[in-house]
Amino acid sequence: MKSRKYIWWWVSPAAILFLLIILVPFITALTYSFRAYSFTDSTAHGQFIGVENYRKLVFDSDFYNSFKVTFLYMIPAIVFQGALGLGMALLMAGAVRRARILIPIMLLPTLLTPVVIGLVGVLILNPDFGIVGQFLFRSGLIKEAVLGSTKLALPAIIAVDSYQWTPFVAVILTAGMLGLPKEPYEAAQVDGANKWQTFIRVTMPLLWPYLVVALLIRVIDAFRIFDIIWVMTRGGPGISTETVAVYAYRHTFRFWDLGYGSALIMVIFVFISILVEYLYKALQRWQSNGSAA
Amino acid sequence: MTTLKLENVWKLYDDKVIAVEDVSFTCNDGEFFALLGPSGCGKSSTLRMIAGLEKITRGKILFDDILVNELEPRDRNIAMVFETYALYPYLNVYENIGFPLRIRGVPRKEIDKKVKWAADFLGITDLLSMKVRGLSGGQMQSVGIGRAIVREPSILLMDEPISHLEARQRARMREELVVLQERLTTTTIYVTHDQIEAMTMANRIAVMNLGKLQQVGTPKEVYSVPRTEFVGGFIGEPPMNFANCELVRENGKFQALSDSFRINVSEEISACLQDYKGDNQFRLGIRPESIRVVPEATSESTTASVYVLEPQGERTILSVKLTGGELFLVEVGPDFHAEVDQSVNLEFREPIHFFEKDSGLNLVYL
Amino acid sequence: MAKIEVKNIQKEYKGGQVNALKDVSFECADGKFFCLLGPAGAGKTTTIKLIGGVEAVDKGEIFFDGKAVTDILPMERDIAIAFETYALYPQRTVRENLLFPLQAPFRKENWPVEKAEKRAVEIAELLGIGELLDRLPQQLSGGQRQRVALGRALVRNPKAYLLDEPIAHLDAKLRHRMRGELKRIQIELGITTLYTTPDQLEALSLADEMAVINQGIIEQIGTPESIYKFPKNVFIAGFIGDPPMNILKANIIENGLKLEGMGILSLPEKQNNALSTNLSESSVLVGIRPKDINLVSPDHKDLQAKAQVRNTQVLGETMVITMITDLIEFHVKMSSEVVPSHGEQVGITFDAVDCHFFDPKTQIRVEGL
Repeated sequence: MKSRKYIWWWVSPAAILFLLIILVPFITALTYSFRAYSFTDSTAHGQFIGVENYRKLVFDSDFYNSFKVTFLYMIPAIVFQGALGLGMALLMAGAVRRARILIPIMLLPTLLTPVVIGLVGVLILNPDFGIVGQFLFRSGLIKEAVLGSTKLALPAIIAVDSYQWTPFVAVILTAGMLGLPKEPYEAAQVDGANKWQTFIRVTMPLLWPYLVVALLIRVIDAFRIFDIIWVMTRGGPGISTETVAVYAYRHTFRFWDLGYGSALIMVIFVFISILVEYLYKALQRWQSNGSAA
Repeated sequence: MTTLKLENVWKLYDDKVIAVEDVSFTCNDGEFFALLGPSGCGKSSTLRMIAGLEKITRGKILFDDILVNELEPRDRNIAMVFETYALYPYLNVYENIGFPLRIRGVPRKEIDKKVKWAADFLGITDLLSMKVRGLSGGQMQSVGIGRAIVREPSILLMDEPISHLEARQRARMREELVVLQERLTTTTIYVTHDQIEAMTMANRIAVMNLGKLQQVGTPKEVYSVPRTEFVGGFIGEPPMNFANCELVRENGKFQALSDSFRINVSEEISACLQDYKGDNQFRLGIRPESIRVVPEATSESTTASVYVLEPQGERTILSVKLTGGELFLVEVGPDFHAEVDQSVNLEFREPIHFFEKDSGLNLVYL
Repeated sequence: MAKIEVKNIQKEYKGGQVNALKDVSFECADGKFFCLLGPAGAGKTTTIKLIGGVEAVDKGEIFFDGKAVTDILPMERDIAIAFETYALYPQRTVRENLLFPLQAPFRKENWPVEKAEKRAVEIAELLGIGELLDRLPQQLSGGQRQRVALGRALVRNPKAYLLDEPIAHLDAKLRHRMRGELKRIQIELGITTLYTTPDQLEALSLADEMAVINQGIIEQIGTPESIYKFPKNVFIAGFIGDPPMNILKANIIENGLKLEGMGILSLPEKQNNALSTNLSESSVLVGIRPKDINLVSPDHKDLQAKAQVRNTQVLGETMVITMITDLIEFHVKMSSEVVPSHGEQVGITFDAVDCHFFDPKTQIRVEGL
């Protein structure tokens, strides 16, 4: 039909934007990953080197470490943020229903720049003058500065990150709770279920989709987290807080090995795609096996 | 097997909005009792007060003469079937039905026996191991009913349980539910906005509108002798026709007069009018099946012009415009033919009802 | 005024996964009220969308007054559509929604403001929403919104109205009234109207001509009367009429039929022969409408069956009885003067003249009887 022509006119501004911002950098990175592009290596001046970067990558133990660190960060973070977010949502749903303004207020930490939060985190954790740092140090709970300890740095980052993102999870869950139907609760009342049984049998199944959405977003974020870590520890001490994004950054913009860095990014991209695809499908299946009208 | 009594029950929201106004009725043991009315009439609020899901603002609710106002739903020994089924997601049919028993700590063997009995009663035994998610609307409704009857409650409450099923299923469920209730013999309160459901299923119906009780009676009673104009117009399909008229005495007999018609009033109504003190403006109500098309005009007949014809297979609904402009529906045979704007002669037959203009009350009730 | 012709249209969704319309052809005569009747999912909405031009056909052609419109944009087809799902403009008032079709930017003949306003008010009053003209859709009930959607189609004087279940969401009383009004408007204005509905009563009462559609296929086309009296197959027989036609299994014997689980129905020789020749096997499906069955005493000789009353539904002057035998369940419709009690044993009779016969293998009506 004639009208189909007009569609392209309407779509073009968005299409152009998409091309410029997403497609072009992606293709550039893809191209770089197959070339030797290093500002520190004089022999490298953009020549095509096939899969050399990728081969280097396979033997890079630090790269594998960054994956490990990412998961060590992601799993506790998700569990903690999910549980705390759920608790917050349960407590706040009633209040939010009466005062919607509470939602933007709850989201304030999420809206702040991660850099700022990271810096404040550093200050708070300082053993000499930081509130938390002093307390931990003086009470003898820890022997060294939190951010200087290979064992405590990552938990500290998780804590700071949770400060910023738990409200986000809570808000998504609250929004879900406000939309839940009344009847299953009444059925539970008539059947005589107590608060815990109602929570497990009615609230959780109904809230599940929202929880999945929130946590899926956090999973993807785990592979992107950068600002907070860079500001607080630069990936250290050693490489104990070096997640994949930090690692890739290091190679691309510290060592100026753009080729290698691009290869790293490509691999991360593929990994995330597969992970998210798998997680999403698994959760869909899980949900459709259980839930009902 | 319990009697339900409501005495002067009121429900106000925020101390201002009157949802239920001074409602009193009694439900006999084992009765299938319908609460019928349009949306917003207060029937659901009434049901929820009986269930204990809403607080009673004023008045008393008694189960077998025991006051239940302050009892929680779980302590009233009632069970409820919801409009949207409200099943527990992630549990299968067996677990859904057994849930109320599990909550109360009933031993496993006992639960098994009761769940199987309920499933068998409803004919859903082969669904027991299925997850609730994949079931059709009708099946989910049956599971909801199963969950309700498994505890053998004193009173069974149903809140528009079949309104979300499609027409054929609804017709089927109407029959099934009646048969079910007869076998169970549990006192059942059934809320609906569909007068066909109430008329075909209930032993007695309470018709409500705007929070007030309009009439309580058997289907036959509310159909043949509607207490108010609202009941007359709400019950019956096609709906009752209404027209303003004056009741005047002429030569010792009463007649109903308007710009559109002049008809004689029955002896019974005439008797009621003898002592009537109010003014003589009334609303005449007559059902489409009580009007006949006659070939010739007589002194008794009314002329009207054909507005539109709606053939319906086994009968035809004729819409006519009376001289005064009122639109009346007349039920005629399936082979009736007429042209639009053609003139026809109508004969009004008993029963003809007259309702007071202000109160809407049927004369015979005064 | 236009004649609408639809020839062999097909439509698939989801790359062939959903076959919405398999091969649909029908004709809606100029100025007539044509109903498309079918259960949910039959393809009614898809048909409206294709005729309206909102979606394109995969195969087949559509003609308005003999001219092919298959490639013409909806706005150039000069039709008005009322969707079941309202599709109102949410940021505009009822009045603005009703006026929009009359003043839309692309429309070639714009109505002068005064005339348009008057028309909008006229239609609103007709539909009983005259007082809601300045409200926004979100402030209206479902029934009110549906009437606005209908009004938006009715304000114009297009070549044809395409109405997709336009009164489905109104309560029973209002639906009744609107049916009568719609029919009347159509007669007065004489605009070709294509109307879809899942409600067979609605189709019977509104249509000049109708088509029954099921799972993307047209089952029968004809006047409501002809479809009611001579349904072409078991599906249609069971779909038209409330309560639905009873379908009984039977075997052909000498002089008649032996009804499964019931008694004998005698047939005149001519009919018996006609049945035997038309059917490949000796079994047949007998359709009998509830209203054509009579209740008699169980001792009556010559009865077609003995059965037990399972349930009675009294609706004013008529009643529907559900009866059961050992094997089957069926319905009887009669006057409610005397209501049998549940569990009572009764006899039933009916006449071969009122029966419809269907081939059990093909489900199709046996003709020539």
